[in-house]
Order: sequence, then structure tokens, then C-alpha cells
Amino acid sequence: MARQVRWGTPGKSDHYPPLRNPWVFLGPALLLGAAAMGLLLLFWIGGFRTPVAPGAVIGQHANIEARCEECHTPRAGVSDTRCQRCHDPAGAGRLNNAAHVLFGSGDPRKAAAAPRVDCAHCHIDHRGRSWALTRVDEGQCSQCHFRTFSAHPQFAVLRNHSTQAPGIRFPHDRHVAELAKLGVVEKDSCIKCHEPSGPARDLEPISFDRHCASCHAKEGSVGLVEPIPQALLIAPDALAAQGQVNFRPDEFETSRGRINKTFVRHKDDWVLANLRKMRRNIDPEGCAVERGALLARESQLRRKLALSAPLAGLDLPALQGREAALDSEIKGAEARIRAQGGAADPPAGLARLDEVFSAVARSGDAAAKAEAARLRGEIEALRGATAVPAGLPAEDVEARKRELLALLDAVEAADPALKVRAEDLRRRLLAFNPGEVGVEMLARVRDQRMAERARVRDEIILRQAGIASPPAALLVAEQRAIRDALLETRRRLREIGEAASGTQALAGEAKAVSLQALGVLTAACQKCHILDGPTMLPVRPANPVLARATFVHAPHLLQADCARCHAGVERSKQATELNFKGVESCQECHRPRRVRQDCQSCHRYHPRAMP
Amino acid sequence: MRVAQVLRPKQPRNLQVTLGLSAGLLLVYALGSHLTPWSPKRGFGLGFGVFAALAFVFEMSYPARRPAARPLFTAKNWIQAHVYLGVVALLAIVIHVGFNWPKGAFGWWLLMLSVWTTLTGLLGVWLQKWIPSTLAEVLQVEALYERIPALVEQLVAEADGLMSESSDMLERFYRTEVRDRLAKLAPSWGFLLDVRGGRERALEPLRRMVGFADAEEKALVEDLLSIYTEKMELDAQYSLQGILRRWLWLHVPAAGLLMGLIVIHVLTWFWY
Repeated sequence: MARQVRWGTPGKSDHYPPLRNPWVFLGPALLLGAAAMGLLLLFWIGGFRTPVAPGAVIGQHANIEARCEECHTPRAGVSDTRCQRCHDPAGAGRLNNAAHVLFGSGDPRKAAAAPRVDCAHCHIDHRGRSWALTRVDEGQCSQCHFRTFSAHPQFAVLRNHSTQAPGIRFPHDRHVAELAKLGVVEKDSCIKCHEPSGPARDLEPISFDRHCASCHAKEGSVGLVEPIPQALLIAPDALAAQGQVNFRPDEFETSRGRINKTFVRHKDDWVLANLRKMRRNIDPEGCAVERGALLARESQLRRKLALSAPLAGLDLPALQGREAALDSEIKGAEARIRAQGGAADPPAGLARLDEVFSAVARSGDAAAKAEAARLRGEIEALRGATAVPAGLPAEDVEARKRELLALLDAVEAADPALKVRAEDLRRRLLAFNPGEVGVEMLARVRDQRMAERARVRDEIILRQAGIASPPAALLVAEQRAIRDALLETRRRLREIGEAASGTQALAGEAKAVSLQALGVLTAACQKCHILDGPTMLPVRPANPVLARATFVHAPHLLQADCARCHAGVERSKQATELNFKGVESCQECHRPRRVRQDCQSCHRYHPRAMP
Repeated sequence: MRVAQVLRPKQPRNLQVTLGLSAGLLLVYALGSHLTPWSPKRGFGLGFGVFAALAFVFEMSYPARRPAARPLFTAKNWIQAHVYLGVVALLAIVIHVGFNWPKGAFGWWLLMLSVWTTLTGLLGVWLQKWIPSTLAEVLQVEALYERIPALVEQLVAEADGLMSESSDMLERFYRTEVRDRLAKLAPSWGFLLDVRGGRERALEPLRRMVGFADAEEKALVEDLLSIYTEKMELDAQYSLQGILRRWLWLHVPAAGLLMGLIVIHVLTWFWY
């Protein structure tokens, strides 16, 4: 019988087959995992950290890729202070959420209560060299704001009917009609004045010389000034003696105690100087208020400038000194908050000046000491009063501040060792604002100091870890912005001038005479400009009405003519009329599957300018 | 074995639970990403990462099923949990990164190893279902993997004995054409696709010999044919059982490497 393949197992085994060792796979697997861990840890310890990183950092951060500590704080993730070392070296806090809320709402209380949002919450790195940190998930905006563009609220300027007067009489209808007489067709008439600019800007600002002078000035003159009593005016010679002016002596005629001007330029120095003089006489209080506001701004800007001193420039002992000083300031603020218990307490504010005096006393500068003693006497008089007068003029406070700042300069010059302390005291003095000594203000100051101390502490940690300071050059742009703003404020302060002490406002007939003279003086100006009492309203031609958004006309003009959004502007009689439908006009094109409608196409999270 | 049989789950309820859980995870992702921007570092994104990491730790504890299967009652439950949770863990990883591609080498390693480990695991599931049933349905011979070499030796001895009684010509044919192939195990991946693959071609010379042999030797050649067929079945057994045992080399070391990288990933997350 032929052999067949057998079913089942052929024959029997003489032994049991051994069970497979469970470690045969697990052992090598664990070994491989451990080896990978060990290798990566060795790389990490050796400073070669790229393999452990979740991805390459952006191109701008490439040179710090292997130095994780530049951005990361061990066990705390990416801290804002590390970002601010380079991106907000002046420590102005422009890039934090509070600044965003302040920019959006204009409400400092709301800003102070704004939740903290870490930089890394929105700006995510390690996504490759070509990634842009400005690419932010739109969902971040919808955490606080509306979700889609279709739900965008009407623009505030239209919602609140808060059109800011442009400060000028400008009927569009007449100007369009005049252009039509020159053969300019209606649809081209807008760009005759509203000239599209380069890609970085929107429309060129309206300029008298370029846009108005051809019709409103004959050979450079916008009109003349009828005779005005000489006694009310500054003599041309006296003004010319003060500096360079844009008028000539032969433009004036004098007869019977009156002076008239036969040639008035746009922004004529003589007219403007007399306008300011008359305003000071007619409305000294209004001038003082404006001056006070400017002084307060100057003070804030000086404080910002003092704060913008780079930590990078300080050595380790100086940093430690600053940390100690900030500690003491924070403790002082907390003590004052506790002492005040919610009520405004000017003496507590005055007590802060004692700290300045004690520094002056330690400096060894005799002149400074004498000056301090004089100021102390005046303050003692205030301290002894049952109630500190709440109405201490802002100018007085500012004058005292300036004196104290000069004292601190002297202290610093006398003893360089006191430089750090003097700087801190200077900052504290600059933070001392009239009417802001309440708990809320103190809490704000304390919070600012705590934030600053966090930066200083972080800088100390980094120095100890051998991480170099960021280049001081990063500060230049921000400091320049503050300095420019400071120069502009000081220019305006010089312009507005200083009223003589104890000047009384004109009243009765004298006021009427002055107002009449003012009307005559500015008659040529008033063809376009608006006089509100003794004040010439500032001019804001073509002022952007979307304060918190960026709108660039140029790409829109490629799609449609001006009338598409500004229908009826050619019939407009008031410069305050916007002739703009509002957000509906934008939504006609910016909708899904047509034109992008993300927040970033119009808005910026961070306010553009620091001051 | 039909494909449908392979795809049919052993425990349909476990598949339903897995599908339900996956749908739930996707729903959480949809809601979470709608409410707040998705980030692997916080909120739901972080939660999915933690879940996936814990799932992988459970997956790695699979070898412990024999001495400590009690928490899941049986080793069968354990393998079911191992398979289904592994798939859910991969889904959790993909959700953890917000359905984005990794941006760096480390991220790619993590994702690729996760995908590789899961896919090789699923390959193992398929092999575990496909090979035993194929071996049982198609082959006549059953053999323990460890015994196959000894059985082949027995077959060679049987063939040698058989051929010692044959003519010189047949014995010469056996020595030159058959014996070496009979004595040597010939594993092949081809058996995975066709368990009888190559058999007819290999037996063809022997079949031709039947035509040349006289009546007495014809019976010997047919016995040799039977021995050679049995050896080829042992080849198939040896190949497929070998695959069944060795596919783990694709799965387990990669899983170990993945665990090592996950530990580094978690440490760097804690540290940075």
C-alpha cells in the first residue's frame, strides 16, 4: 500500500518543547528605549539640544536655538520676561495683554484687571525656520471678541456718532464742483487731494501747500489782518528778536496806535504768537489746564525714558542693588496700601518724599542739602495742615518734581556709588502724580514694580547661568520713540507759553475787546479754521476714523471707486460727515470664499506705538 | 480563509466600544478646538497627550499578562485591550497634535514610531488570525515549530531507507536531485500568500520519474513523492509559524524605542 501524507502531528516528541523566554523581545526593546534616552540625554548635557527640540525655531531665533534658557525657564516654560529681554527691552509693557486692553478700551481700570496672557500662548515657536511668529490662531481673538466677521459690531465711530471734528470747514460739494470746473471728472476728484501713498502708509496727509494753496493763497498770502490796537499785540520786532520767524517787517503798517498786516502766510508766526498771547489773557484757566496735561504727559514720558534704562547695561552687583531697591519699594507700597485702607491719603504720598530727602542727606552735597531743607520746610507746612489742599496746582507739583530731579542729578554726580539708588528714587518720583495716591494707584505701582523685579531677578539668573545680555541696540528704537514724543510735548509746552503768575482772566469790556481783536487777527484763518472762544481748534484733516484698525485704501481702490463705500460724498456739506455705511460695506466683499476676513487683516493685537 | 473572516472581530463589543470611544474623542476635539485654539501644551490637547502616554505605558505592560492577568481576568481580555487601546492611543496622538504634521525631527520620530508600532501591531493581529486558520484548513501535517527539524530528519531517514531498496538509477536520481532538497528546510515568504505555492513545480521531476519507473519502482517513487509532499508541508509550517513568532521583532523594539522617546518628550515638557 502506497504511503500517504499523514493527518495531524507525525510521531510524538520525546520531550516538551521549552516555553519562549518572555525577555527575548522585551529585553532588546527596553534596551533600545534606554539607549535612545541615554543618547538624547547625553546630547542634551553636551549642549547639542536640537534633536530633543520639538522642531526648528524660526529663522530670527536660529542663533539662539541651542541655548534653550534664552527663552525657557526651567520648570516654568516660556516666560514673558525672557521674550521681553529682546522684544520689550525698555520694559514698557507695550506687548502685554493689559496694553492690548488699554489700547482697545482706553480704560486703565479695565486694563489693570485684564487677565495675563503669556506671549507663548499665541506666538508658538519650534515650527520651522520659515514659520512666522506673527501667525496667530484666529481662535485666540474669539476668546474675548466675536467669532466671525459677520458678527463684527458696527465701527465705534458710527455706533457712538463720535466723529471727531476735523477742526476745519470743508464742504466736499463745493470743492468737487470747483474741480469739475477745471475739467476733473467726479470719480477722479477724490484722489486730487486724497493721494494714495506707498504700501507702508494709507493716504498722504493733506497739506495746505500742496492741496489748498493754489486756490486759497495768492502769491503766498491767505489774506490780511485789519488794524488792531497795538497794546493788545506782541510787536513784530519783539517777536523777531526771540528767534527765526516767517514774516518780514515790511508786511506791517502802523498808524494811530494800531497795527495791521498786509500779507498773512499760512501758519504765520506773528498771528499765531498773538493768538496764543490773547488766549492766555482771555482764558488763563484753559491754558493752565492744557499746560497741566502737557506737563503730566512730559512727566510720564520722562518716567518711561528712565524706566527704559537697559538691564543689559548693569553688572551683577548693580542688578542685585536694583532688586533690593524694588523689594523695598514693593514693601513700601504694600505698607501704604494697608495704611490707607482704601482712602486717599496725601500725607502718605508726601511721606514718599522723605525717602528722596534721606538720599539727598546721605549724598554729602551741601547745596543739595540746603535745597532739600528749603523744600522740607514747605512740605512740613503742608504736613501740619489739618487737610492737605486737594487742589495743589499741578504746575506746582511738577515744579517740585523738577527740583527734586535736579537734586537727584546732583546726588548722582556727587557720589557715583549712589547711582542705582538715585535711579530708583528718580523713577519713584516720576511715578508720583498729583491726585493719584489712592489705593488703586498704589496697587498699580506695586504691580509694576513686581513685574520689574521679576525681570531683574530673571536677568540675575541668566547672568549667573552665563547667558549674555541682549544687544543694547535693541533699545534704541523704543527710546527714540519716547524721546521724539518728549520733544514734541516740550515743543507744545513752549508754544503754549507760561502765564504770568496770578494772571486773572479778562472780563467784561476788556474781554469783549480782546475777543473782537482776536476775530480780526484770525479773520483770514477763519475762512477755513474754526475758532472756539479764544482757541483755534486743532486740525485733523483726513484723520483715520478707525482708531483700532488699519485700513489701507490702495488695494481697495483697485477693486472699486471711492463712491462704492463713500456714496454721496460729493454732496456733503460738512467735513464731519463720514459718508460711510460702516462695517456692512466691508462685509459686502469680506466674506467666506471671497476675500479674507481674519482679524489680522485689519487689526493688530499689540498697540503700534509705545508712548 | 476569506478576508471577511479575518476582519470579523473576535469580540464585536470591544470593537463597538473602541469605535464609540474614538467618536467621543473626535467629538471632544471638535468641541475643544471650536471653543479655544488647539494646543498640545494645554487644555484638551495636553489631556490627549497624557492619555496617549498612559495608554502606551499600559501597552508596554503587555508581557506581564501571564503572571498578572488578574486585573483583566484573562489573557484574552488583555490582548483585546492591548489591540484596541493601541489604536485609540494612536488616534489620541493625532488629536494631541491637532491633526498637524510634526515640525521637527523629534516630532517625526514620535509620530512615525507611533504609526509603525500600531501598524505592526495590527499586522500581528492579522497574522495571528490568518496563519493558524490557513495552516489548519489547507495542510494535512501539523507540527510544533520546535519539532520540525527533527521531523525533517525522520523523513530523510525514511526516504534513505526506501531508496536503499531501489535500482541504481532511481537511487542516483534520489541522491542527486531530491535528497539535498529533502534534508534542508526551505522557509519562504511565499507561503504567506499561497500555502501550497511551488509544490507542483517541486514535485514535477518526481512525477516524471513515475513514468520511467517499472511497476515495482513506481510504488517506491510514489512513496518518495508522499515523503517530499510531507516535507513541503513542514516547510510551510516552519515558514508560517516562524513569521508568527518573528513579526514581534517589527513591533516590540520599535515600541521600546517609542517609550524611550516618550519619556524624553515628557521630561522636556516638564522642564521647558
